[in-house]
Amino acid sequence: METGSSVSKGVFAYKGKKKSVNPEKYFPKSETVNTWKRRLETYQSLWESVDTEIQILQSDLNTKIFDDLLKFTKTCHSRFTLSSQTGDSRTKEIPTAALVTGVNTPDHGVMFATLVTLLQERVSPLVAILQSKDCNNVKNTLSKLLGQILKNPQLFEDDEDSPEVNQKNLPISLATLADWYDDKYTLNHSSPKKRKSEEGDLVDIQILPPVIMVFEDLESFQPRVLQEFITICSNYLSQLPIVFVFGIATSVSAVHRLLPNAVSSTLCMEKFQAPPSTEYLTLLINQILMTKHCPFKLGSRVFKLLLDIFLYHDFSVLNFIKGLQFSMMDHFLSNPMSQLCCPLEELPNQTKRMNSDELELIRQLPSFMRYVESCSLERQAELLTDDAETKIEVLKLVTEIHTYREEFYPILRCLHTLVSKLPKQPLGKQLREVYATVLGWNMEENEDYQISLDLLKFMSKDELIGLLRGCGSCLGNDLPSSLKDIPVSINSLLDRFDTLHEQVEEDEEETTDSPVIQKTDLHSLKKRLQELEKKKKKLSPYEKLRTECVDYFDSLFRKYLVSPKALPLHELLYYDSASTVRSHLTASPRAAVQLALGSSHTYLRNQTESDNSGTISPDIPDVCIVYKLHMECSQLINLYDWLQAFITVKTSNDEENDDQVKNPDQVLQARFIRAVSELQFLGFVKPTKRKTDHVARLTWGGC
Amino acid sequence: MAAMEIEEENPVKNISKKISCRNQQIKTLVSLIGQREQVAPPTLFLYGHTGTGKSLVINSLLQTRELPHVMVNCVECYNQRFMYEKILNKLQGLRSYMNDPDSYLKCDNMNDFIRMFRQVCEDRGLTKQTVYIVLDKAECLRDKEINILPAFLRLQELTHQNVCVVLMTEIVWEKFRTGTGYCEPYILNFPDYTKDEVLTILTEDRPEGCEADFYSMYLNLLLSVFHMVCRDLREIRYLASLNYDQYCQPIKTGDVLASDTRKLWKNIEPHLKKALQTVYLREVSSSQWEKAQQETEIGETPSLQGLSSRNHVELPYYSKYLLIAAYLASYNPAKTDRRFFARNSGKVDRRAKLIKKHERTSNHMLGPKQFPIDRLMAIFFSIVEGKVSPTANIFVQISSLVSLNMLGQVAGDDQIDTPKYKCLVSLEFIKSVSRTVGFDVLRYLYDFV
Repeated sequence: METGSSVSKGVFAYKGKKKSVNPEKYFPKSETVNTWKRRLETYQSLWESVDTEIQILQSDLNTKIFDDLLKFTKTCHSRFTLSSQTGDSRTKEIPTAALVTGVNTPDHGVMFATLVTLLQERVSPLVAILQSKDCNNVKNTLSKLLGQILKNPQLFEDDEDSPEVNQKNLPISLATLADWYDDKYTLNHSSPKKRKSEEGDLVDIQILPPVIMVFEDLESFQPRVLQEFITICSNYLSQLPIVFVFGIATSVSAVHRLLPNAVSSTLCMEKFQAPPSTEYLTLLINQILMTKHCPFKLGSRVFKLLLDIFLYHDFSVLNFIKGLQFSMMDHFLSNPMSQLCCPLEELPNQTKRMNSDELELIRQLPSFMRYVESCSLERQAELLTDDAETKIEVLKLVTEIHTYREEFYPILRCLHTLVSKLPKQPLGKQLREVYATVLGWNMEENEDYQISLDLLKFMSKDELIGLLRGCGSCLGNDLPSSLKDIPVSINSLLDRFDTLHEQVEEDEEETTDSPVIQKTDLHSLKKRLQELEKKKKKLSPYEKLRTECVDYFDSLFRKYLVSPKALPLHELLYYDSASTVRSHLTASPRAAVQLALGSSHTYLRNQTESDNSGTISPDIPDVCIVYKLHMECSQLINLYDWLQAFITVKTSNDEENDDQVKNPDQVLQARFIRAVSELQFLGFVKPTKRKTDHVARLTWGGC
Repeated sequence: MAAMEIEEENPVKNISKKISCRNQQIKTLVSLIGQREQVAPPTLFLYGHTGTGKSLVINSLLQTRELPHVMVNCVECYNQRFMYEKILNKLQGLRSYMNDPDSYLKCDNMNDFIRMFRQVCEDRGLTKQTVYIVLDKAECLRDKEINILPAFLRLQELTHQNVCVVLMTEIVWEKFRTGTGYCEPYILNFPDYTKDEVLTILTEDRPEGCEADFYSMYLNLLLSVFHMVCRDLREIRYLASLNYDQYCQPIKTGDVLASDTRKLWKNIEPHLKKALQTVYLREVSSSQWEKAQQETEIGETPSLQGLSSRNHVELPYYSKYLLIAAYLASYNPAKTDRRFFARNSGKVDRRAKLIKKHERTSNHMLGPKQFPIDRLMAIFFSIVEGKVSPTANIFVQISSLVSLNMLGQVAGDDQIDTPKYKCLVSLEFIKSVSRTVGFDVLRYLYDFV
């Protein structure tokens, strides 16, 4: 405590003991049931499996681009030797991989971390990653580089007797690095230890590991620093096999904005385009959210919200995953019965462990109540009173949701294939859009669905056959048994389309009695044309078949693509509280400040103030009064008037306020000034020189 | 006497053989350097554009005659101490710090440097011979401490040693004269190579197994296209190696004889014209270039993104609108905002409009102007479709646009004193961005109304 009571009076932070987190405390105490432990376990195992799946997905996605990049870094210096410093008088270029990563900057950290580990494992131990925030001048850049390469622990693994480099005393320059490199790799080859291990492949000895420098965020580097650094590197190219990897978020032209020709001519760039993050998201949604494996699902509103955040704000898959994790956590935290949101195998076990309190909670679920109402009276009584029966019923219903999902996703893909190429795409182009619609729709009332069906009924034969084939292929092979006959019926439809032209010819002969064209006046021609129109209502065989086909699919969709909201017990497996997610993921500081100032009772939990609208209560905090008063003013506010108004409000409950207004209390005046300066700090007013004793408003509104 | 002349003649010839088209400069330098013990001029100042052979000539002269010398690139020396230590330690023959950290000399000012320099010269027995200190990119010395450049110019005088400082730079001597105490150096210019000289030099580094005539024919064709836009030897050399395989393609397949220049020209011309668009850019390596060339031959659309979609950037939806708003704020005068974005905009008097049209200069000629964040947000909320709440996510996007170099922050480091920005993207870019969101940006730009 002695340090705390020093001359200056400040706030001193002491590193306290690290508290171990007790998960129980996080769960709401008002719950009547004690299921938190089971929920926690279910959540942990679920998230673990989802997380591993995401990891696998991500490494798969970047495999191709990383493979190319690794190959590039490996081969670009294959002819480099330390001895060939003389001779070749031609100026060489630094091989540079321009990795165009896309604008989703939050995701890049993970991507570059993977890249660096891959480079270290497969290409060279000498990898340095440079970020613009560490590199504000050449010296810092160099010291960062040397620090990373010389201290690289991998280097000292094989020969421990090599002297530990004391970095502090080293002159920070590339010359040091070049000398070190020279020492290291000429020494290594003469040391007997090394030779033994690599005697088998003599070719390998010739290839020296390149020195790879990864610039994570090229755009943010200061141009001057980067230019000088590259010039220095190019001077050492004969002694060090340097390779650059530029992480570029926008486009390759950024390099030219940063570097003048004299510098960029020392580079030899090769461009690598990372897959766009939208592609990654599509993959993520298709393979993780839209499979039957994960019992937890996002409801339509939350799903749409997360998609919106992605598309409108940041393109960051990492944030999307965070959002998913948050929804999952909140689901298990806020829903006392969410332990039932577990894989199908564990479901009987979980239902068996339910006690009567928990069953009571289930009975209160709106979807379950609706379901009970639809049952017969006897059954209703049974379900509401008999615990054992309810358990069986719950097990049955949740299992039904699982089977519903098995059938749901193949049919959804079918729907997507049919509607994605329609003009104007009423249901959306991407699978995720269709999915978001279907999650929340009410099929009978959905106009877009009707429009899509109508449009399908206008398709030409070739288009329709193409779509049918697409449907057949997207259904795949591992269909649940209830859907096995769908590919068969699609194929039979296709066959009928193929054999259609034979029938068509027969039919056409019947309708050839076309009317002989006579000389008529306009009126009768119109009449005749109208008659013809009516006659044409008779459908051709193709049209008949087309209608039949569309009707077939319509019936399929009606059967399988029911919104999950219509299912009993959907609350247990679908998380749809968008407002919670929104308030946690999309912070809006200004709205929060305005809410706090405008209606302080929401934060102070003081219910009495909320009802007296119109007048300003003197009991609310000073700054709120001042804020409310300033809302009534125009662009410039007279401080004296404001003070008068403030005092009037403050003394409105007192008896003799006339006297108070004339001789304002000094305390009140000070409080007023403090409130105004608080308001200034919050950015609502600022002092102005346009008028004396006035302040300017900084927000819109008012009169 | 005769023997001496031979010795003097030989290096000139040897080096001239290796380095073509620099005879005049080599001759001058050799006569200035003279014998080992002869006192050389205190400073030599070599200037000429990049790629005119300055370093090549001086390096090969010093190396072939094995004269004691130190090469330092001034870009590398971020402080003076580093430069002094580098010169001294190189001179005393210390190969690296790690080998012998004890004898590593430390020196952090000019005074010590001069003292230690004499010491080192004595230790190494170099008092008699001329020691050469070559400072490459000498223009950087101007930005360093004010005493460095004059001291180097008078190094011979200060040290009483036979030392010659060679300054190499791309700019003329007149630009160096900013302070006092300057001692005039001997100035030697390396002029740009002429077209014929470029041809001679490039012919020398033809690939193996290629006839000189054939290769120079190729270079002739290449230069006829590129010499107009690019005189940089390095760049032309790069282009020559990039396109040579393409040129030889028809000969390899046996369609054309090596002597049939007309047909070869017909074959290579379109490729060279295409390469002309990306000269200086170096966005593709030769292997990628070849791949793209082959693809175009087959008739596929060129998939080479380095050429086709250089400026294509995918942005989130609101970022696009923010960028458009920033562009409008940068190029529209603030007083016209009311007219463009207020609901019932004030009608501009027709006569006033006419007068204005003549008077005003295009804002696009003047470049982007800075604007406060409030104005940006006001424009953003009025142009964006649908209702957007001002969440933190929106503000984060502004800073991410800054980190992408699409906006530049001009003033105000924190939120409290309203930050000011500038929009840094081009009209073409903003047009393509606004096209993707279906927004007609020209209708809102003051210059185009």
